[in-house]
Amino acid sequence: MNVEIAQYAAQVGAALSDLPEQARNDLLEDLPAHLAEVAAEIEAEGGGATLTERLGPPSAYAAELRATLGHTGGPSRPAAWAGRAVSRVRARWGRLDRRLGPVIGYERLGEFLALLRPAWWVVRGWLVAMLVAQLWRDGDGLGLLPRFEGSTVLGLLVLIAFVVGSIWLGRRTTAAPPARRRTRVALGAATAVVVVFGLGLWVAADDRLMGSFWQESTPTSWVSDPYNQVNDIFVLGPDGQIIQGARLVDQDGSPVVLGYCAQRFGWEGPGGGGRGWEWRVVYPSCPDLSAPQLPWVAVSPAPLPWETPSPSVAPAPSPSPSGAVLPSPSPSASAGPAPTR
Amino acid sequence: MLSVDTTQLLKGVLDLAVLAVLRDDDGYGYDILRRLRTAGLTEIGDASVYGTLRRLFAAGYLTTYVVPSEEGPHRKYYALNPAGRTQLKQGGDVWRGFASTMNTLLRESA
Repeated sequence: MNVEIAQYAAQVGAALSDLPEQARNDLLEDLPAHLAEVAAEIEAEGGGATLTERLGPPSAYAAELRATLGHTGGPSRPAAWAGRAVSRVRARWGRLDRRLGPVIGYERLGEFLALLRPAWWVVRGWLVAMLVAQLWRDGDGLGLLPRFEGSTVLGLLVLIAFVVGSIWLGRRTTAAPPARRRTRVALGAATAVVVVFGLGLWVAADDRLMGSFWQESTPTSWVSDPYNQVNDIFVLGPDGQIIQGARLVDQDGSPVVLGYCAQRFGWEGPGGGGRGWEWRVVYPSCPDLSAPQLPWVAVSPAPLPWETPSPSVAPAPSPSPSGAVLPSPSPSASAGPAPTR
Repeated sequence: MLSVDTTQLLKGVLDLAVLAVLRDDDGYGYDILRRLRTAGLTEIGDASVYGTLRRLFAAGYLTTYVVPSEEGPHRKYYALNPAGRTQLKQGGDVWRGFASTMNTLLRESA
């Protein structure tokens, strides 16, 4: 009998393991002695064989004990702390709710926010459509409409589908929140993803709009970058001849990529923009851009604008195409008459 | 759906019931359970009585003493102390007020 009592008490204790230690000890301290008393009484009455038969299973006994504490789900310490924190936040929000509501003519702010709910459903549908389009596409920028395979019509259809779906979901979850906790958590996580994506989209769009506005409206941007309109570079030797396959480097030895063709060449180079492409940029870089018609090119060794030609350098009939004429590190020598910034 | 069963009602007044059966005589756990059942609270369980006794004891309304037993284990007796008696009196007043209110209400609605 004593073994049975100890077992029964231990099982009751295990079922109450979530209680705060103090309350649990108060309850369990005397339990074996009490059970022994009960067992003796039962025996004296000529009753049932086991404690479980007379008192019910230990879990039921534990549940009944718990009920006498005055609260059913005895919260553990962290849970109690979290509960208090939540109720503090709730109380603060409640005060804010009542204080801010009258400012915009409502009794409570939450009342107004509840009215905005359908607007959020529409925005949510749009954001999800944008997110799907973003995951779908490869390359190309980001507009304000979802596009699939570059098709705006298809994008619009998808947009409408997602907005309608979002509204349907919104109405459903408002009428009856999902009963399963897992579903609610999943919905919340998905909402968080959509909100973060929306913020990112907003920042990107804002950035881009600001950028183009700034460029178009301030002429200084054109002034500050004198290379804006450079399409290609022609490197001339001291003899006035165009050097084919010339390379430009800056003071660090990094290639200077100037002009539309060079940059495009760089991006489309093998290795997809890795290190490999850098030294493939040679000037002139546009294959079909004809050389500028300058009065002093290849006609006669006219004095170059920035220096008096050395008399020792005779006009060579065929200038060496590449290696010997690495331009000097000074950028002014490489780009012709360098405008001063 | 309205459901009134004795277990639910009992929860609120179990403290008072246990104090009441100890008013005249001290008792030990199983004895107290038997008194409550004899008085008519047949649905009460051993765990409820034991838990309530522990809580009332921890709250300072009861004193305990152990009586050795010839055959079987010792028995732990519970007795009302002055704080317990005060609590019983106050609880009794609250209950009687509440009960009479409910009686009036139920008579009117009948």
